[in-house]
Amino acid sequence: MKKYLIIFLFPVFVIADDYVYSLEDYNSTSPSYGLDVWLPQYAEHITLHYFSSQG
Amino acid sequence: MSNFQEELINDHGYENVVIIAVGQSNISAFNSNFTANSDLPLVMDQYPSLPIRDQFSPYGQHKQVVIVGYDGELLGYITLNSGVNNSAKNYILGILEDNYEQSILGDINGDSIVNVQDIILLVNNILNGNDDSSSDINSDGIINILDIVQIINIILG
Repeated sequence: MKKYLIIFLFPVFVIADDYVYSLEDYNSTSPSYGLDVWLPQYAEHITLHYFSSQG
Repeated sequence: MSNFQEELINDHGYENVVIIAVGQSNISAFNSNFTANSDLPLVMDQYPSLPIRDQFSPYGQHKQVVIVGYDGELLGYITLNSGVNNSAKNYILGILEDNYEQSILGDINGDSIVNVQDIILLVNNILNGNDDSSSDINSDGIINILDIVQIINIILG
């Protein structure tokens, strides 16, 4: 039973960590300029990631 | 988008929501068109491998907003072909209403209770020079003994 439970739960943990990255903030007028976002700077935030092909 | 960020904070009280711009490779072009003179964080995906987009796939298309929760989980996504119009705002606000957790003043360790553990954490933050914003209980921009007094007052009611 325990074996089946582990097999069932494993993909859930993998999926939960899908959207995680940590890259330098390049906007000089941002309060987090030069720091890494969204981890760890905004770990306690809901984050809205706006994608653009610009740049 | 920076106006929308201000609206989320000032009109709706969502202080712990941040909009992050994700460009591709040319920082200056994206910054001047999108985040210039705003307080929005800007990160750059690395062309041509685009590891962030790869992680967010199938989301993360041009002009798409992907909303991510506290634990890195997907909450929703929307493509802003017409900018942040009322329909887009209502969609995003609906997700935030369902998922946003209001912070409690003095709850430094985030366990939804203000108690002696938060005092210990606050003292550690002062001693270690950690400028965690949740430790600035009296919102004077400095974390010091006055914040300890304030948190004790909160606990004593």
